[in-house]
Amino acid sequence: MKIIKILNTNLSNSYSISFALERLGYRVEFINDFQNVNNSELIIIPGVGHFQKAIDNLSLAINISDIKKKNLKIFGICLGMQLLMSKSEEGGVNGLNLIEGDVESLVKNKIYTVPNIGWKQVKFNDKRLSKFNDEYFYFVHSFAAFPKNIKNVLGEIVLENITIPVAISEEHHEIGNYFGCQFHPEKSGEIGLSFLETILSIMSIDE
Amino acid sequence: MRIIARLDIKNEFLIKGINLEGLRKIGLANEIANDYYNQGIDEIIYIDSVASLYSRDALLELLKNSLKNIFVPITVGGGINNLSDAKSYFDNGADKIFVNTGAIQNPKLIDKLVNTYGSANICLSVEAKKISPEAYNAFYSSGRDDSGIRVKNWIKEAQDRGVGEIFLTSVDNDGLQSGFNKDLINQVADYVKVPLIVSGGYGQLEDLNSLHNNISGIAIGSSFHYKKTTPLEVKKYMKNIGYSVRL
Repeated sequence: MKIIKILNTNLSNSYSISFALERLGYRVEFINDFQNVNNSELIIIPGVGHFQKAIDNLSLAINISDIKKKNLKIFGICLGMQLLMSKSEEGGVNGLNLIEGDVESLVKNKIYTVPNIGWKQVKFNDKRLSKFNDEYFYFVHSFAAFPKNIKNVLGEIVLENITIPVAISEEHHEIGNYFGCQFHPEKSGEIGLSFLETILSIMSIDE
Repeated sequence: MRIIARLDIKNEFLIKGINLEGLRKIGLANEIANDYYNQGIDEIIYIDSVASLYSRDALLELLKNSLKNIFVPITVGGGINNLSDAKSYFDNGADKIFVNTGAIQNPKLIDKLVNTYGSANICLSVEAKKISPEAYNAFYSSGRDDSGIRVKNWIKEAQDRGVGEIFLTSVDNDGLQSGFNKDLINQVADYVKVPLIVSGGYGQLEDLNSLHNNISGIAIGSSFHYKKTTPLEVKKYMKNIGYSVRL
């Protein structure tokens, strides 16, 4: 049975993601740091909560330079995705800077009904995700990640006629070493589970 | 548009009454929630209407079991009076929590919850009851006690305190399956700035016509529980009348 490591961010939401992974046939292991992580291993960063609190917890727990030194792959979900960015308006602090750009509030981006809670259709532009094009995924967020280079955006939704990035990577138009989605695949029904499975198979080294 | 199943819980059972009173036992909550998930429900709301210590433990157990088979959001509430009540729900996998009585008795509870868990995960449950031809007050303790506060003023205050969603129940219409209270819904939907879920009174598909366009979700209890309709049927109807609905 394949093992997937999830970074414990000391925020909630870890049950949901681990049950989803177990349903897909993975065994889940929670880690508090990168000490026993192998080179090129895939780590999931989940997360609900406040950017600053999460990055504070992370900075204490992990040596951020290990990510590049060990050539780790990171899959961030929701706040876990936002942490991949350079910095955030929420708390005004720096992120992991694995993808260049800022996390900004939806209010600043002229969205009236905030938070955005509910199911939205996502447009993907990585070919390997084309089967999920226009499928509905579940969102609950007040902030979003805006990569400096639009080519780092792999998925988008339209909110009140405004386009918001919701899936990002450091590579152009395809999933690289770092990938994040704003929606919760573990809460997006059977399509969400299939999305999780697809991402894990793309990012896992042994496939 | 989200179609949500509203499950009032007593211990491990799903219960349902009329006007939030006269509760009848319907079946095992876990099994019924699984059915709704398999029929494509967008979200599940568990309401602990008893909120005793024993029922709290039963709800936490229900929540944990639900997470194994239900991969859509689960919102939980009932008897949340402080941060540690909220923590026990979040730690056991709740995606969102809602507050009513605890927030009416101590509005600062909303600020505390929002600062700890973020706006998006804190929902305000409003039990609205008509007290004069035009006015609604916010009630608490499952619709029994009048706070004396107008629904409009209460929602505005809660929004200012950072609550991320409003779950509006018409106590007068609850359980009657005779249609939503559109007068109440329209009053609230006109000024609410966070997502609004409406509940209380769904009886037939036609009730879904001409709803205010500032509604984010519809919560249905009796009509699902008594098998008068299914989540799939409601969602197909919503899609046909032009809503963006996940099918």
